[in-house]
Amino acid sequence: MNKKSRRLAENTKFAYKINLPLIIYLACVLAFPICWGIYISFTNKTIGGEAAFVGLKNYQRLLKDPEYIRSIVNTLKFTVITIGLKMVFGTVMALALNVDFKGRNLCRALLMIPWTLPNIVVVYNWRWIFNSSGGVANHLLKSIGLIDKDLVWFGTAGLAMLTIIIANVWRGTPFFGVSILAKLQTISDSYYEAAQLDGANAFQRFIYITLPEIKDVIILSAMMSTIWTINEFETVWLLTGGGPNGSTEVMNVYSYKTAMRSMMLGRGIAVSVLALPIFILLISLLTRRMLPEEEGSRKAKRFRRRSV
Amino acid sequence: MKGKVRRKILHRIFIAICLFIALAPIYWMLNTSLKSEAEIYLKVPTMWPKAPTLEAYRYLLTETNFLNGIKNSLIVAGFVSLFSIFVAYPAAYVLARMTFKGKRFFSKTVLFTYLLPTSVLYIPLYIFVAKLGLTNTIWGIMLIYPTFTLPYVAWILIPHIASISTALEEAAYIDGCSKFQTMYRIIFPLALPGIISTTIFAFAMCWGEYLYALVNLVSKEVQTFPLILSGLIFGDMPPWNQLMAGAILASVPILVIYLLASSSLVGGATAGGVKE
Repeated sequence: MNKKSRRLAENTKFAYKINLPLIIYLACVLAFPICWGIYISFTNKTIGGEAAFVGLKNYQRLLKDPEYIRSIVNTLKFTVITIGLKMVFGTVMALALNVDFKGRNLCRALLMIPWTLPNIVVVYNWRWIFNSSGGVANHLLKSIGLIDKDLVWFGTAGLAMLTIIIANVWRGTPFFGVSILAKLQTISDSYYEAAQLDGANAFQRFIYITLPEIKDVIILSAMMSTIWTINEFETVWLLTGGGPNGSTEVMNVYSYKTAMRSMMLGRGIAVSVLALPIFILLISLLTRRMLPEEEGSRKAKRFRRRSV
Repeated sequence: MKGKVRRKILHRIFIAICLFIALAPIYWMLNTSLKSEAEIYLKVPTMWPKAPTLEAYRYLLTETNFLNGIKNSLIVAGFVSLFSIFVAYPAAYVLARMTFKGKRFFSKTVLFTYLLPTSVLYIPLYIFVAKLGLTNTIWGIMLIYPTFTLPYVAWILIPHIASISTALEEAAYIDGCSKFQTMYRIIFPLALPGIISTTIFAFAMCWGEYLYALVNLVSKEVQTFPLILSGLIFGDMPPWNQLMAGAILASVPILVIYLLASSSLVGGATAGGVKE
């Protein structure tokens, strides 16, 4: 016992000593600026200006600002729709790739490409595709007879929202697909064979065998993707700029405009601080699922056994 | 039997549709980049460049700051990803291999910072960098980027290190290796495949980063390629062929690395994903 506790003390000393650079870095460049930022959200700091304490004024202004409320509604709408679509498409993509066929690995690699591309590239590509002059989307829709006049994608409220949804879903689906596929491949064939013998059809097999197995990984991917989607900035800023008339202005575009265009840094941070509880809730839910010590699964036991 | 064949055909058709959706936009990017300025604004877009030309690439590389932007992005992403590996590797190592006081809190902090989105951070970090006098220098964003790459690298490396057999370590310990030596001379080389793929992902995260760069970099000389690309958009008729040429050039390095390494990358490393 004594030897064991001495070893623990040694390990502890070593672990913190060797990680000192990381700890110092995160304390100085992450923890400190966040705390400072939260303080600044209680001031009237502007770019280049001095900060004076104003209490909760930034927050009161925000909650009374219809533009802010609208940006929150837009963010919710955008997030719920895109996460739903990415979940469905990702599951279907994973199921299709879980069938053994020639060239499967190549297909999987090719289907991952949208996720690996730099987002800025993806965004400009869609902006060009939906461009009202020379854009190929209008041309294709006209040639199959769905529309007879060119659509102004970025200038029409519903259509502008549709373009940012398409850009986000196109790039985000492979993340769901590959995560779900990894789980699908661990499901034993014997389950399906037994179910087939019992006369279960394909749909029943999916509902009663596949879905319960992949439920966790879908939820995990959805939560991570939700954090990223609420956080979305460049897809919206570079495609629609939040327009027309603010119909696609999501939270981050609002905060960017407030902080960097109107130069009200304090109020810009207040936008992020108001969103912080949601992020913290999501992150702590995720932490509970992702940290192996807390789940009683096989993986966790393996993880524990391996740690000295 | 007949039903099986039909299902097989339907499945292949479905895969083909998926591939089309994933790749057609990328083809359009390539197609546009090979067109002349006159051809991109034709009334009816051509599905195949009528007169393929590298003019857009030539203009982009010689008449704009694009090459300089690529150079800046390379410096920033290269420096930050290497720095992150060396600073975050010890964290992944102790989390995968050791029991120590506060381990749970430590791993929680790493995961928390990994998931913390940039929107919460960009204004405070903008003020921080400004106070240090580093606004509008690549040093400023080189200081900022590790805030997302460090936790990412630490978190993603844990399973890679945990999957290495402990036998070698025990042998090294008996031979009188110190913890430090074991960590760097025994485990580091064994974890190298995972370390390389993680470095690549960290590189990719910095490579296309937009928001931090947008807020901090103003002058053309210090801007990274995403800002140079968006700088090409002006007026009603931006030069889309040049923009798409830039998009292709910026994607190629990432795609090449990815396709070469896809067999080892598709599994574990992507499970955590690349933070957007």
